[in-house]
Amino acid sequence: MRCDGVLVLLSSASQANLAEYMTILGIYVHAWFLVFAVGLPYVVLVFEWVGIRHRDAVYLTAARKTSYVWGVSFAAGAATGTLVEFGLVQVWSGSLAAIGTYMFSVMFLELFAFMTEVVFVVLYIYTWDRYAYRWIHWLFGLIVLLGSNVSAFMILGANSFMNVPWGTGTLLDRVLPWEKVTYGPQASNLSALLALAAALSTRGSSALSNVTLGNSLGRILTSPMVILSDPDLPATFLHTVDAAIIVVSFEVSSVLAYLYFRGDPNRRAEFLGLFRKSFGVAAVASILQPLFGDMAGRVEYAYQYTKFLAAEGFPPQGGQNPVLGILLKGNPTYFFPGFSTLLSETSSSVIPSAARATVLGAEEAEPLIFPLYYGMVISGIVLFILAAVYFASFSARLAGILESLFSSLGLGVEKFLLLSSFAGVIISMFAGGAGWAVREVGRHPWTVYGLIPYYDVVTPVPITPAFVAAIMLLELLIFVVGTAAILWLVRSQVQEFLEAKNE
Amino acid sequence: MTSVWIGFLMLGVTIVAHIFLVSLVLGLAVMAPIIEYWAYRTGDKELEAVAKDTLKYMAVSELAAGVWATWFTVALAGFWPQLTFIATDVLFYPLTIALFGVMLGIPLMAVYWYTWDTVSKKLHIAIGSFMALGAMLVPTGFNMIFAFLDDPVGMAGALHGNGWAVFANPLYPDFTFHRITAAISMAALAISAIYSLKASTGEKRYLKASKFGLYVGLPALLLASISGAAYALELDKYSPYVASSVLGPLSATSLSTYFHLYPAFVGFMGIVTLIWAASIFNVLHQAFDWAKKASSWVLLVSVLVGVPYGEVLNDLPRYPYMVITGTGGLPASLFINHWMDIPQVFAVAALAVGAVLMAAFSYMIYLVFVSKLPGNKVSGGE
Repeated sequence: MRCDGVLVLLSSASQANLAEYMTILGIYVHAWFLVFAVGLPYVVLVFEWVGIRHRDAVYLTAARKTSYVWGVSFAAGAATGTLVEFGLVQVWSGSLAAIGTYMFSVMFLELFAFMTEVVFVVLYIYTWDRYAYRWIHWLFGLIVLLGSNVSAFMILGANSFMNVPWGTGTLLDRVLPWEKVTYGPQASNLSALLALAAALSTRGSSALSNVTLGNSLGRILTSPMVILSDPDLPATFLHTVDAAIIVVSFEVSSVLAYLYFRGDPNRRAEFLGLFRKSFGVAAVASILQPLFGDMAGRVEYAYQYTKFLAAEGFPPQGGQNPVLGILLKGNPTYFFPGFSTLLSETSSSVIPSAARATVLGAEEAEPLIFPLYYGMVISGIVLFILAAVYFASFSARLAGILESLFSSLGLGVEKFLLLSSFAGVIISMFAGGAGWAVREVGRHPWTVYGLIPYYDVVTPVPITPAFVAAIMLLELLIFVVGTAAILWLVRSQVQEFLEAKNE
Repeated sequence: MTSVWIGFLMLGVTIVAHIFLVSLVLGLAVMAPIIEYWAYRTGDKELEAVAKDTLKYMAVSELAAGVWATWFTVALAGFWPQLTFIATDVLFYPLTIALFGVMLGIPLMAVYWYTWDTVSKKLHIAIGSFMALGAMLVPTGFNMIFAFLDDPVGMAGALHGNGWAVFANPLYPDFTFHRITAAISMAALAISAIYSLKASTGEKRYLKASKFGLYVGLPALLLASISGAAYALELDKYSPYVASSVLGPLSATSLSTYFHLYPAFVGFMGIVTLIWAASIFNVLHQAFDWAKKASSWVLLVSVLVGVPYGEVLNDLPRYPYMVITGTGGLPASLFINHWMDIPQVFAVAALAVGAVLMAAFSYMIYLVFVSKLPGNKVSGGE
């Protein structure tokens, strides 16, 4: 019997490893389109706001043209989102145990936000000239923006639960003894939850096919809305959405910078005006990002200590880090215990193997996520500096200093900002991709931290390399076609913008 | 209301809405390249514009269908997590075929749209045909769920590693064929009716489009009617509980069932008769007078009502069972989420808000595509 269990786990692990590749690619492809859908409303609404306020036809035309790109990227995001969601349910079918309990309320509430978005995005795109009082149209866009943010909040809620399983009270402290915190109120029936975890561990996700077992567990969750009070949720939401805004606003800025350099010289003032607005959105978001990053980092330190160690690159024996010591403990000489210390504590866990897997998983991931994490941090610092230069350019005194600084490089402040927008795209995209990788890889091997490992929730149906290759090819096809469509659209809208007699 | 009934209702509403929209998508996906091909053969530019419009309607329907697919998935996973697990496990291959179809169909829809007039006509029609093929793979996979719920063939085999065993389901081929042909006839006849109503303005292209819709829709309707009748006979043989509920005295077994849907079935037959009558009338009656207008309205309303009505008849008779095993079944209460109490307010709010937002969306589509807002401009491709 024990031997059978081991075989199940071994085959599940190799299955899961294969399935992970297509899931990773699928999520990144979805994120690629989603970033536009979440970030573009901010830029479009700023353009339209300025256009309405100042009765400026250039801004209104720019907003309108950009909104078409927003509409297509929204459709691509929705389509890939449905695929990702269904793919997750099918390939990681054991995760239905979490979806049917803790994640249910956020996934359900997200539907309302999504539906609102769908209605108003169509309304927004097709009613540009419909209302003499233009603020009505702007309001439609604002509703879409709110809808997309609520939607992101809810979906990230599910991911937050996977990282910080809120509502499990003191359970994780017993599984992972170094996490000396409570994971929210005791909203779970711990014996039922442990029985479910044990069943998944023994039989893999096939355990869920046993209806009698499923029903005999009884109530696992007593408070369906507990997930909404997860402290990881606001931090992750702000950090992630802000990252999307930064990426997209730099992308728009770079298109405008390109037009400035290569477009009609007589219209440079127009391009520059638009550029300063979209760069302004990027700058505000980049200035705020360290705050949101700090929020996320503190949650990680408090509730996912192993990921914190791996991301910060602490050696196995632990060590000091004056900056982190001051920020987290108010003590620059504070000693952060390392993986070795945690390993020695695993014997006191109610499930020592789970505790060991957590430590070893993070330690194994460290060589990958440490550079990614610091790459993200450094990218954030660079973006922060670009934002500071942007804001400084509004002050005559600071602008003067900057001019003299940049003149040695043969650049003015304006030209520096225009050129930096191209770098901003690359840097922000790297930061976003790396940040998400740290978040997910750093949790390895857990689907739900400390409770359900990824190999326990993979489908029992054989996942072959050929199957994975076929799905990945399709994912790439969606990526290529979707991206080509967006680029084509950007090109045609830019062309129309250049030819337009502004409204 | 019990939690089982709420879960059943929630699932039912989302399925009916989703099936209606995906049927439209499927039908339009097949229609667009067929119309384009015919336009190419005859060198008819006006008909080609109709093909492009068809694709536009399809894209919007796809967006709405995607929304309901998400509702459907969440309703399944939330209210029926273990049933969903069993379905994804046992029906892994059919569901993969369906997902493959979605993943193929969506990018090809974009390619088809953006390559219009930029590649050779033959290549473009080939792209459209592959898009239609992708769209057809979706019901080819997903309809196995319904066949399985009515007759769970291959479950033991699938649980022991033979995932293809479910394809031996005797209900599956006919049901799938019926669904596909019904979807094509629905879309084609709806197009015909809409253009027939527009043709009263005297524009020739609307007349052509209306006729073309009938040429495709009527043969599809014939096939749907034949396969529907065959499916009813098979249902009586392999899923007598469902057959008894729907067919009533026409069923060979006439079991006692929770719902007696025979009167509703007679109503459905009435709708099908109306579709036939209005279609044939439109073929025979060339003049664009009040009679043609009335007939076109009847056709439009009855084809749009027919598919969701049929879907209610397909799903409701299973209650209180979730999976039918001949004369009885596995009760829905066995599969309902026992792990948490789903607040009733969630389901009620979902149904209410879903209905309001769907109505708003439909109105939006009407404004955009039918009443033609001033300044209305489709992004890209034009």
